[in-house]
Amino acid sequence: MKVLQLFCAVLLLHHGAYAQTENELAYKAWLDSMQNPNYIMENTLVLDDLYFVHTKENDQFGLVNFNKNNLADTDKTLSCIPGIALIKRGNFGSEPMLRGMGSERYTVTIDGMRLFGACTDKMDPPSSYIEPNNLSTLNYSLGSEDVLNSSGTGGCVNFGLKSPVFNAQDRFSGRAGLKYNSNFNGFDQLLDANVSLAKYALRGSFVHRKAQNYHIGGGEEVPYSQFEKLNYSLSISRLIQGNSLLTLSFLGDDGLNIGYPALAMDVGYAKAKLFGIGYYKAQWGIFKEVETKIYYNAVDHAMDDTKRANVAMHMDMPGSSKTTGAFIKAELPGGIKAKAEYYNNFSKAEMTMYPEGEAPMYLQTWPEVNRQHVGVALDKVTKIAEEINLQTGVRTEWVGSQIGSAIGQQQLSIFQASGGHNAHVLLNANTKVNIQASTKTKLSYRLSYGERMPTISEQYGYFLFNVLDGYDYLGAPGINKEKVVQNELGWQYQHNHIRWEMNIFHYAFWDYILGASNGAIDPITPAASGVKVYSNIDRASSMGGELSIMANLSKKSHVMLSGTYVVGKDHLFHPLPQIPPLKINAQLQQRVKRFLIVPEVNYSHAQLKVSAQFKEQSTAGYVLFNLGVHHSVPIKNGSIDLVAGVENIADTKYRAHSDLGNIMRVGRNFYLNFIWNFKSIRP
Amino acid sequence: MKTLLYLGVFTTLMFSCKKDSDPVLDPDDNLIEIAKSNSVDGLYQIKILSGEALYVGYNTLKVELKKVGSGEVISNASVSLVPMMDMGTMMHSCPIESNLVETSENNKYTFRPTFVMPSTDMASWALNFTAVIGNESTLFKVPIEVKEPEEPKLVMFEDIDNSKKYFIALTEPASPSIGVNDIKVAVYTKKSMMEWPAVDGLSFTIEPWMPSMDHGSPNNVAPVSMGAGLYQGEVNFTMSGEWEIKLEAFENENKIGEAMYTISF
Repeated sequence: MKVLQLFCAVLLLHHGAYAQTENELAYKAWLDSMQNPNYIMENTLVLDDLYFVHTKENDQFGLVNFNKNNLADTDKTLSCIPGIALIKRGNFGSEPMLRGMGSERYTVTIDGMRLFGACTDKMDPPSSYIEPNNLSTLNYSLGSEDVLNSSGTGGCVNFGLKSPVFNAQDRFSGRAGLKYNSNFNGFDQLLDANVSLAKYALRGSFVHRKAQNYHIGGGEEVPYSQFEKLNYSLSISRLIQGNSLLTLSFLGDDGLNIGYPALAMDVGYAKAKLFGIGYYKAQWGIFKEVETKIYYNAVDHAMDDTKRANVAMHMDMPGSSKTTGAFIKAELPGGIKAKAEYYNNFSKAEMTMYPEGEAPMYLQTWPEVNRQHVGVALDKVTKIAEEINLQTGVRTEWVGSQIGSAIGQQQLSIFQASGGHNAHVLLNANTKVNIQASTKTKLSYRLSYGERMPTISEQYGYFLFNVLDGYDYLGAPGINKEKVVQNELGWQYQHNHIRWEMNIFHYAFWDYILGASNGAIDPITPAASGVKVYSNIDRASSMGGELSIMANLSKKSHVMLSGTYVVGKDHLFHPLPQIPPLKINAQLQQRVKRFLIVPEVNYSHAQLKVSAQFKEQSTAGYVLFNLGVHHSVPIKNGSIDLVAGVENIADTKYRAHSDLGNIMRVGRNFYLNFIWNFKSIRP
Repeated sequence: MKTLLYLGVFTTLMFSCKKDSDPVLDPDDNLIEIAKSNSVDGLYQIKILSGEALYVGYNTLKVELKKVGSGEVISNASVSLVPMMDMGTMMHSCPIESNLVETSENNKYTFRPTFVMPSTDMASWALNFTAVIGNESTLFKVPIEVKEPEEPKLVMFEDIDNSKKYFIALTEPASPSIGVNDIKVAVYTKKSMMEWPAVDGLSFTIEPWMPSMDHGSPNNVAPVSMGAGLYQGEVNFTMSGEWEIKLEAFENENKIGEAMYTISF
């Protein structure tokens, strides 16, 4: 699976350099132009349909077939990006961190559609509801850079879904795959198919994963770490007059019986349904590339403790999140990209505890909160000189929030807090200078200002237990928006057989949102150490960098190295919690005949900069060794891809610093991945 | 199919109409009849109503008077009440917020006695009303049943030298909910079998507690004296379920006792 990491790293450096038929390429370019403005292309991973080329002439660096790896989960796809780390609560649904910042600080969209998890304990980050099999692109920005996609202080991630493909050659194409993971006796199945007609194209997909408990290094089993999920999608596109496209899409994801060993409860079910209607027109009067979309999604989530032993008191914790939205995006005259969007999110979460022989205890942890967002964004790239261009973007967003339930208002009244209803205006602005300093060197500097809304938990959360520090958290309705100023320097160098890219960043936050201990309030969770109320701390900062180096050792062997480092400090210069330590990945791609052999080393330094306020312990460093072997066999009307490998060869017992609950990660795992690609060629 | 559709529309309309036109609730609508009795002279009938069956603690009674025969409602009488417990060997009364009522509301006279013990086989309660109608005085003797509530609503303690008995009756919250609730208690002492005066000027501390979760709630307001033996404060319930409310009573800064109530909703 680590080949995937390699693949991603390669793509970071060699995006776009893939071989496809002209027809497909043209179509891809068309779609990409809709989804990914060029200037953020460098942060876009193209995940779809890359062809592994065997012939020596084409034996270029990094042309690894992603098809083979489509049974990687979304977590692994994300974790291969320098600057992204994962918070694990078990073996499922990890929460990505962007430069050490959790999901509060960045926004997640799926094909431009906002989707919010329905779990107050962040068991279901939006990324847990999609499968790489359905993704065509993964577009991310570290920091408040991508104003078209989001407002925020930490950046954004957009998962571009695969659209049905119009293909002149293949009327029918698809793939079927199987994967086995030895460590957790996990079986995955995949099936997808694309039908291309003259005016219509249809795509359907299906993924099923089931895993038993995993084993940490040394062989110890982690109870309650099983999971099962189904993911299914169907989309249909209609070409209209050659230059516009109407697409209806549906995506469903049902997680079942998911264990979260780091938490006190598991998940009975986690279900998401996404519906979207999109319309694209290449030219509409003076507007170019007009894209508009209307969407609705519903997430239902229920925590479950019925399978746990020694439950002191049974409780139900269901949550739901519903988002309805629409946006329109276009390129205005003068090369200005513009977007207007609206969405409304409804989030509700409840807790009912059942003490023996007593009345059930009920409260609303998210008191039926409604939020409306109305945003407008503009972005433009201006050429200042032959070697210099300037990208500027600005976004403003109005956000209104209301508590919908009487119980929620009553809960709030206990704290004599006002602000059941309130509104915020957010501003994001950035400017980036790109300088082609020489044929080998490209430099960039970015200055951006960002603001973000407090999350629903931060504003209205009601006694949310945080396993990280053992406190119950209360939202603060009157909390201020968080602000950041980000400075970033980029340096890219390419010469002959070597290429590197380096980013150095600094974020200065104002009104940084963090929990502050409040001794006057009793926690409701019996094991909790106290209550923290979300509050704005004066200042916080974060700095660090990412480095990727890639070198061709020979035509058949390539080396890649990537490192990421970040330090976060609060207003008193104490470390912020859950900051990942220095991480270095090194990979070798060695081609031996028709096989690609990929040994890899993941190094993580110990994290000693821990937050005492969050009762963090230091985390030991670790080194992991992985090995993957790829093989592809062309057959009539398709190919068969085989990937086999071992992760964590030395069976090292380790955990990442950001992981919750002192749970160790997966030990040695052998995997075998089989994919059959098929197509029927038009006569 | 069409019929079904019409039916659907009709039902929708019906339900939406119902929702739109919620009638203003008559507070007397929820009253149940506790007892009915004729006066000793047989000329008048008395009907006693309350929100629930009478219990040990602070009760609110609504009393209706009618003329026997004509059924004429008597709304301008001056009515007084002396509750009486007959234990065979002895008799005693109980605290009452005001034992003389001269005005009626909705043709009902309101009394608020605090029963200090339940009816048993050996001990029975009666409500002795005297109604002055015109210039005539009419007597009613109405036997009633007083039950021990599931959760005690009345706490009795004696002060430190056992010289004085205090009765602390919880009167609110009657319908508790999540959030801020008014808490009211009525405090009386026993002077003699027949004299149960109200006690003003005490001070309280308040602590709500959820025993099964082992936590309290913040920002409660201890009840303060409002006169006539009544004290009012605020109690906060962060969630529904079973709560214990502990009130510590102080007189001149000396603790004289404490009362504990359980509220479950």
